[in-house]
Amino acid sequence: MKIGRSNLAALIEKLAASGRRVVAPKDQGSYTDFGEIQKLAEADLSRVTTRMSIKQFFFPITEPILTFAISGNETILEQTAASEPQPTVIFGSRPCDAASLPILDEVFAWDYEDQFYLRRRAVTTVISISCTDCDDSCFCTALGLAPNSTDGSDLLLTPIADGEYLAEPCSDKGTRLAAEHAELFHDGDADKQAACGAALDRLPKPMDLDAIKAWLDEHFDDDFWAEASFKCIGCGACTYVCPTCHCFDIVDEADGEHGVRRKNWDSCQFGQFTRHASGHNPRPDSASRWRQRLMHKFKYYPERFSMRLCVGCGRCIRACPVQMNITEQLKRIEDMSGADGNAR
Amino acid sequence: MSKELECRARELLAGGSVAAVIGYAEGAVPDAAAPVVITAPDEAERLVLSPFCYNNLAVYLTRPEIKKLGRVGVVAKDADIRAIFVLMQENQIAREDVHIIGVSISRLGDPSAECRVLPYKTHEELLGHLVKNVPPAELSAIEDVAQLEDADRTERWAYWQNEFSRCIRCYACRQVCPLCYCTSCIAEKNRPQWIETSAHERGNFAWNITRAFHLAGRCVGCGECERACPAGIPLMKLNRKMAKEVRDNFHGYVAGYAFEGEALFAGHRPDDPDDFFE
Amino acid sequence: MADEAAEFEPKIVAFVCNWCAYAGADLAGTGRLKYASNVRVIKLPCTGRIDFHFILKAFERGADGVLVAGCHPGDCHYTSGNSHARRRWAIFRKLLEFAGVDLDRVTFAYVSAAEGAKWAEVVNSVTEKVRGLGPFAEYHHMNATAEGRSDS
Repeated sequence: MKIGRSNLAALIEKLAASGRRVVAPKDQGSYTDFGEIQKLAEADLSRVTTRMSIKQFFFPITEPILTFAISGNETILEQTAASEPQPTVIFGSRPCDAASLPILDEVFAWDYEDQFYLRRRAVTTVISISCTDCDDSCFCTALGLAPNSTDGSDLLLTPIADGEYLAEPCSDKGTRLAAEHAELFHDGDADKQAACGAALDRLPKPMDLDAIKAWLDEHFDDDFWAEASFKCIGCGACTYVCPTCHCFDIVDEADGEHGVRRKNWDSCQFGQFTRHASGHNPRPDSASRWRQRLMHKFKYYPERFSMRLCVGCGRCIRACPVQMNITEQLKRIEDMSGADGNAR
Repeated sequence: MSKELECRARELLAGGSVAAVIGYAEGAVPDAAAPVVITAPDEAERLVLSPFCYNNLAVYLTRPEIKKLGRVGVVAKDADIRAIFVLMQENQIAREDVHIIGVSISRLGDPSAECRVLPYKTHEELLGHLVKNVPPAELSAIEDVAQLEDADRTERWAYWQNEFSRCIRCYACRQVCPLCYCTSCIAEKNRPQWIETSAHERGNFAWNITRAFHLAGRCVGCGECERACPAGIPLMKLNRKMAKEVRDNFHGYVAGYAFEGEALFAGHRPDDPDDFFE
Repeated sequence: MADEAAEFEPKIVAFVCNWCAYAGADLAGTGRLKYASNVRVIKLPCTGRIDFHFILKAFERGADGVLVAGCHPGDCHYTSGNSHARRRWAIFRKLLEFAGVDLDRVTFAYVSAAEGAKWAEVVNSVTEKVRGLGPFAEYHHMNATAEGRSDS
């Protein structure tokens, strides 16, 4: 089915008026980032993608998880508002963003069910817009994704001719949403591939991810890591803009008699990330930390969950102050794996 | 221009006077150069010099992996040279452990900018060049600072609260800065926790104020922090304000115009301003 | 009709050096001088030990004003601690001002061990100055959000 632009505007207004928070990319000058909108016109959908990903709506950068107070001999704990997240509609995410959600679902619903994440997932609807263009940092296709993938979206809109969008419900939530507003949609089909032709022409071809993993399996100790990571300065920009990175730290901020326990983003790229209480740090240099990044994303996570911890959005490449380029590195590993197997 | 740079690097490496040269190589995306370290003379052809050599390579000089190598060469633009001088002044690197390959780029980011390798070989010559051609007085282009200074106090508070609200505490600003070389930053200490790690307003305020003050009198204005910030926070406004106050309160002091002698906050004078004391 | 709100009592944190300002405060005490009771005193060996984080932390803990008091130039028990401090404060206060903090909330004073009267006078004047400014609402708002007492 399809939806025209003015009906899409009406849909957004209805959703915003329905007690749900609607967030979409908004102009911030040299980039766009998600912010609350009441009307479609407030959104800026002109850029390839936003600077920050949508993970912040499921896994906020800092989240109070409980408060505590000491009263006499007792400690009083209180749940915080995180247990009642606000129903939200994410509008204008890209297919790569949406694809990160099934990936994150694996770890957040694994041996411990993270209610802070899962409750937000339950009350959030994702309406993505396919990419009709891309930039040099995008590489979703290298990982087997596509600029018009439905993975993780509840409703996928693909821009076609005359200001119209092809509308595909991709989940029960999406189907229900379309049904609730059926009057705004109309019948019709369109060629999704043609609509995204410009992007597809420019995006890279698939990488041999199995060969890359096979090389990673055998080359934990390799000179490659030190040389490849030299210029890394050890900030957390790549991990923080990444849709799939999910490390966090639990901290207590207290003043003796009351405090807040918070769940904060953390980064394996920080120098002190793996510092033990003893003072020993098993990842003391950029080589070991950069290796961890690639291993986690292309070996450990796939071994555990059969999914790669990367969606090819390219944010890390755009954000890196020294141009650590993950696609460049993966290509080098692919070459090394192909050239002579494991003998390097 | 890259040819001259290549020759200089090759000469240094072949002659054994440096164990490595830290410079710029082709980046992975157009209009970008990226840091590289080369250790063999033949690698010298990888070095480039372009208007897109943004990074301040002095940041690598305090890395343990680099210090282990002994004497190194480093390609340095005007501000980068001054950063190296501050590092020497603060005893973080020995003057004999670095050979500075000075370069001049007339306008960073402008494809038509002029780039050249400077003919100076010693620290003294480079300092002389800076004093003459990049004098301290020119570093006080601070109109946007004046605009904020003249604004109402509540406007300033609202301005910075808004800017800091986007801070995600990635510490890219700290990590790109050559003068942020503490092996354990105060932001990483939690016994006690002076700066909350959470990215709420209070934590972000404490972090950004801390960094601005810790760089006062030391920042050389390379601008890398602001360029690296993924959230577009105008960090250089804070740094320029600090540089202005340092210059106005301490006899025209500007960081990086000496590689010996006392750093600003290591000393004191009887005539230091104190009209604000009761 | 509701009563007038009780008069605002500002919370002032004073960082003082052991040898001069604290002794001066002590002298005010032994001299039974009456002065505002709004000040909580934190004693340090020397003003040179005072890190600017102490001032920020005082505001984080709810202070409406901060006083830093130490030896007159030349009198420092450790020779030059107060001189190092003085140089730092000249710049730090400009940073606070630039960030939008009202500098009337942060006061620096020289108080010697013999200046009991000056101590009382400084505390009184700081208290009245900060009372006039009202609670440090901007910082209190940041505190409330951080402590989960209001929506971010």
